[in-house]
Amino acid sequence: MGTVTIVIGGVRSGKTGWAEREALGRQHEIGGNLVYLASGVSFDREMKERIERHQRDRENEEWLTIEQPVDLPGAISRLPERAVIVWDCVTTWLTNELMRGSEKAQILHDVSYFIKSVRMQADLYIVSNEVLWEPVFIEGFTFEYQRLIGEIHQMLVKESNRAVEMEAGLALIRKGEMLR
Amino acid sequence: MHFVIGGAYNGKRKWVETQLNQVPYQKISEPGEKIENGVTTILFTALEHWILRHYGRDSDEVVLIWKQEVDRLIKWENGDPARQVVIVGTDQSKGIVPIEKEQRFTRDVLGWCHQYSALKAERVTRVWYGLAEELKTKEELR
Repeated sequence: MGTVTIVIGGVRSGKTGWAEREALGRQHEIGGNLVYLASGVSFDREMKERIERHQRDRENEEWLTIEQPVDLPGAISRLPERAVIVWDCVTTWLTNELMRGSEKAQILHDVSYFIKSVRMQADLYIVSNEVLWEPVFIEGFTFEYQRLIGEIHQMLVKESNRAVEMEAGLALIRKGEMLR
Repeated sequence: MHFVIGGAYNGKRKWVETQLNQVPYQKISEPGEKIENGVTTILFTALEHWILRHYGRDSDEVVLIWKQEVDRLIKWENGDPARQVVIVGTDQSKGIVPIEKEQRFTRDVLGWCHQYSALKAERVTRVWYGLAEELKTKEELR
């Protein structure tokens, strides 16, 4: 049985870098394969730059990148044995699912099923963006998005062994204990 | 160096002033700004405005200027035990991605600048509507 860790923080708070370092440490300890599960797809130059920046940060290590913008359960069969996974990130994946018109029930089922399956055999580090610390929108796509991401974050924190809030590069443990 | 972070209009400055307890300070809002003779306390604020003015430049370059500024301020602080530097950072990182490119630029650069400030600071405090939470203290560094 693996462990699940969720790290939630603002944009450019260092959450992906932290998750990658933790995953690397975990892999040194128990062996297995490092996996970067990417939800982001580059549809413009800016997104491309964001993705490339994260790729540069990982280039000195052996990471298997799996691109899975939608349909999380579809990633399960593509995972190697004994994986240490960084899933980056929940917010992008949710945007992708909503953009293609997925229903809320399906979305919640997918993420829940994914975590339950993956944790049987792998360690999972989940990265997500804090996007709710501003006035919430009253209607429309963003309103639905904010409501859903809040619900998903609550569920992920509940399911995780460890929950971390990232603030300006400082990892604040909100649930569980540091493994190392 | 003490780094204080929090959302806009959360009472960060007021909290810092209470902590300083009437000690006069020089306010700086621009990297490289001259430090007056005889000053013992520096308060750096409004970093986000300076960043926005550099919109269009390479983001890594702007972050580098900030890193050099932090290093300069720490060096100055270490020059005399009576000196202290407080950086107040307004967090912009926790909302929905803004539509305007300038704002995304500022948000990105500000996030990196705050990471470096928190890394170099010996004390980091988050102020949430006037309430302070210590995120990093000297004791933890030992």
